[in-house]
Amino acid sequence: MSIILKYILKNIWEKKFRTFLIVISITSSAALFFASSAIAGTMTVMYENQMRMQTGQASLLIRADDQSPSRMFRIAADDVEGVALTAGEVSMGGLYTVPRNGGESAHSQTAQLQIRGFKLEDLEAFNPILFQQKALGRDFAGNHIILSQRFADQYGFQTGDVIDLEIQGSDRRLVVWGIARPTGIFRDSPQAQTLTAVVPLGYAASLSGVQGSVNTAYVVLTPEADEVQVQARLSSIYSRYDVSPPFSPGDIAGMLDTIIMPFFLMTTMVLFISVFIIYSTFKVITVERLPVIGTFRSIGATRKTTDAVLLGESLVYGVLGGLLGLGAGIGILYGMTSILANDPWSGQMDFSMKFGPGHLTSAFILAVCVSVISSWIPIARVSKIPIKELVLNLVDNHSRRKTWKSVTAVLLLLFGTLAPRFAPHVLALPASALGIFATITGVVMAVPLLTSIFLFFFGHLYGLIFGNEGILAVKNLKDNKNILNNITLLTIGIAVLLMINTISYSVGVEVLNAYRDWQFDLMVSISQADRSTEQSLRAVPGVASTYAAREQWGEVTVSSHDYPLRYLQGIDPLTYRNFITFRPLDGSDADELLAKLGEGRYIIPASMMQKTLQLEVGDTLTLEMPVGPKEYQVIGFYDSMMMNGSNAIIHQQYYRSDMGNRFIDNYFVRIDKGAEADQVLADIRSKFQRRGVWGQTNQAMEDMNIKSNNQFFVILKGFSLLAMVIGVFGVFNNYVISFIERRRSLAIMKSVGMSRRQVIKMIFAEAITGGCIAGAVGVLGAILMLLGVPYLMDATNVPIGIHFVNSFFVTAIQGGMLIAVLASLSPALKNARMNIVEAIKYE
Amino acid sequence: MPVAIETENLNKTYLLGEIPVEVLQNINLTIDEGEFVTIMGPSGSGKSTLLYLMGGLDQPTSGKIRLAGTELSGLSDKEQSIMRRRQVGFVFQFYNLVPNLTVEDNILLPLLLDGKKAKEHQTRLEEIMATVELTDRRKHTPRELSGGQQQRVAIARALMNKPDIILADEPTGNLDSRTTEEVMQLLARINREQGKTIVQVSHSVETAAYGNRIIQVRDGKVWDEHEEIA
Repeated sequence: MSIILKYILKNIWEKKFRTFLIVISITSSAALFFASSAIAGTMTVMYENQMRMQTGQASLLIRADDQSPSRMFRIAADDVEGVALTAGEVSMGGLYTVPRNGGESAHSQTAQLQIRGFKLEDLEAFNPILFQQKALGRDFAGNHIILSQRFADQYGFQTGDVIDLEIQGSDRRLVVWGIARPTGIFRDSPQAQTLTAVVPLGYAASLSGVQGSVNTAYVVLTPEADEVQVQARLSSIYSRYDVSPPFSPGDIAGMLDTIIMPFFLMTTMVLFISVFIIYSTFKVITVERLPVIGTFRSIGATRKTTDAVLLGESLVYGVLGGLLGLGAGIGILYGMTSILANDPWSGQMDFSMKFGPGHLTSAFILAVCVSVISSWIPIARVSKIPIKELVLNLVDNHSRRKTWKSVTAVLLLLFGTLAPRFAPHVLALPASALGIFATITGVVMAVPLLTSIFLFFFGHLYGLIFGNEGILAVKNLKDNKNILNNITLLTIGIAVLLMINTISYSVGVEVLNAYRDWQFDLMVSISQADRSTEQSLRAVPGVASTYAAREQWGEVTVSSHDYPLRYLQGIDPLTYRNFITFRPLDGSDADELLAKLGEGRYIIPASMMQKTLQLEVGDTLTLEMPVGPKEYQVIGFYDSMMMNGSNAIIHQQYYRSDMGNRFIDNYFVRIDKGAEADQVLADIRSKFQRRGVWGQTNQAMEDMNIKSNNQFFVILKGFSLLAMVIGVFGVFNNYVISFIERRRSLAIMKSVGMSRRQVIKMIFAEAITGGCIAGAVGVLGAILMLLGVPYLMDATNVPIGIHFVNSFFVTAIQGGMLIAVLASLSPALKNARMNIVEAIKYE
Repeated sequence: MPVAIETENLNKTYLLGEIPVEVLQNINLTIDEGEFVTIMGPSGSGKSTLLYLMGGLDQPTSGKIRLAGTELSGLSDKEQSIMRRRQVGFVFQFYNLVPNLTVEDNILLPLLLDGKKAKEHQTRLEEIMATVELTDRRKHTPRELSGGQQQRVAIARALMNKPDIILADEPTGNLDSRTTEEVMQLLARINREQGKTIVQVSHSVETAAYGNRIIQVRDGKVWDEHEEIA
């Protein structure tokens, strides 16, 4: 046994580049699989931690909802079993006016504060503050305030300083009791316009005139408590208030699904390349080992023993790749997490990687399986060869052209094209994912056929361009298995890279298109805004016109179809189209359709919602509105990708009554020609600062969306680049193998008069052609896969239109040619200088 | 008779590990045009090396080789390649055909390497195919042919560019007796009818009988030269 092991290890050691190639393929597959499977857990913890910053140890929150009689409530005195602490909060807005410096500014500069009243001991118990500075020997009481480090640094406050604030319309003088580091409730996002400050609960209540009441209660449970039971008990006590966990794990899972699925798709592609590399390398290994296998068998080794020798080798590769893959996977997971943690919407999140023995074990098993299974077919093939043929070297290594492969390829391509289009709605996701996989498999299997077709049409050009060496190159390309393997590897790499780049570009275009539907410059939200507020808004210099938007950017459940509607607008048909592009489907007239909305509870869902729910005009949707369930009848559909197409329009009259909201949610503002959007926004903020105002330019929102998408795509591009790098390694290895195998053929040609220059010219022509075919087939593969992508994305409720970029395709073909030429450079030069006699006499 | 091949103090030394092995020592030979010479000798005597040096497939350690008066050592890679295309035709024991090319392509190879258009040399191709009796096998690949047929393809390839010299390294070493006879008759006919100079390496006295001179090589030296009486 030790001799066999020594033999295996010697083989592995002798062929270092080949070992490197196989191990790096397995390592990459295992690493990406590990990272993709562990990212869900890590991101969940990351989002939970982010949310926990605000709620600390609290398992349940008690808050007012639309059904509550008041925004405030009293904390019940009775003990509830399982509750360790109920901490109340009273919060309000505050305004800090920065003292003028030389009076240069026309407007006073102000800073908004979210002032939150807590009992310090309660807050320390469920969500401790990390102090940078703290008043010693004084209790946190009266007009004390704890400022965030960011605020204190920005405006130069220290513990003991006095700060003047405007709270609830009155000027108040407070004393800085502490400065808190940016963690827990002081973890304000970098984009936040309102920073957190904490005051004693009693002081906050007195400022609000609500002594004894709170607007939120944080419930911490005892370790043995049953959360569901406690929630039920509290719900009965606070019967008209909402008692619920701070966030639902289902919400996070839903949010992560769209992130994780593409990672797994990419991992599958990398796995596909690895399997192909290991399979093709083992074909060479087994052919190389035929004489040794023959010798082993002739001295009494059984088939099992020789199989074990070869499988042992692949097992060593698998174990090595698996172990390295775990290390690399942790590194990749760290990289992915740190990129995703920098969320443009909610700021930089803290992150720690979350994975367990299950993730490590499954990635390791995958590595071993990939290696052993991929090598099994060539090993099994060798195992069947009779001893006589092995010993006498009578094995015919020539592989015949297999018609079944071409037929299978065509069938797979047909399946890949048709399955996503005609699959029933419930099977849309598996059918479209399988379709994409079938397409790339079909393209790979069709490489020999497509190469023949390419050479049939363009082969004669080679004689014109490269002379007779070109004609010989074409003849070599037709039949050389290794060149075909090279083309295949390059094809997969190019197709995957192109697909990811095109999707990334398309998402960018779609985001731009979505924002281009917004025919306004600013979105502004003013607290408790009504028609009179709009008049004041219009008076701000630079404001040209405004639209009072009644809209819900959050979940409205469509209970009839169990569907979470993410964006509902209650529109004014007369002015809506001045601010938003409205594109009805099926040739309906835009004005007529919008006008009909006012005639009853009618709804116009977006096309994606129509597809997902398979809606038709006349269908009825039951919307769970704050005033109760309301039935709306579908009167048409429109094209909009806002909130990934999960949106719908109703008339503002029904929106107001059914949502029970008399205030205007947002204003869409168009500015005067020549006015600066940022300046107008600053003026609006200044004018409404005391009422509480939020605003953003259309451009800033678009930029944040693009930034958010780019973060995600930078990882996917990294995955696809890795796939390409492994593919390129494979191509380099294949070229080396190819020239070892072709040494004799080249020597024969040299013996009948081929010069060094002619050898290099012929190989150069082969490389250019191979690269060109790989590029062209890669482009074809990418296009075919991309045609299936919209169906896949539709199935995951993230609709996307694919926008092809011609320059990507040209670059892909050029890249393929460049890689092939570079890979063939060294072996071509070596072969040009070879000793003809040695090569010819080698048998 | 004009001289086809001439060697002068030809030496060839290989390194076996770090030990130099003198494969050929002071070989002085002259082969006239139209001769059919057989180089014989035991295994390892250096006969194949001598043949490869004559054809410019290998370089001598010292000494000179002249083909039709041109000294090979003074030629560049390109000039040597042109010489191998136009002046010499090789036939090997294991045929050495390019496996993925058809019979026709293999035969046309020296012509293609010489930059000539295959279409313009169809008559020559037909003529050679007929000579080696392979017209019906022109679209086959080497692996679809018997050993004798493959060797006939190799001979046809060697003749394609109308070289003056055919160098054959044990051309029948891999063939049965019936095929051996066919191949040797073909070579003899080419020598007789087309006046080509043929130099073959062989172990077999029977095949040597088809030629008109035998050169015996032993331990890297010419041991004996004599006329063969057929």
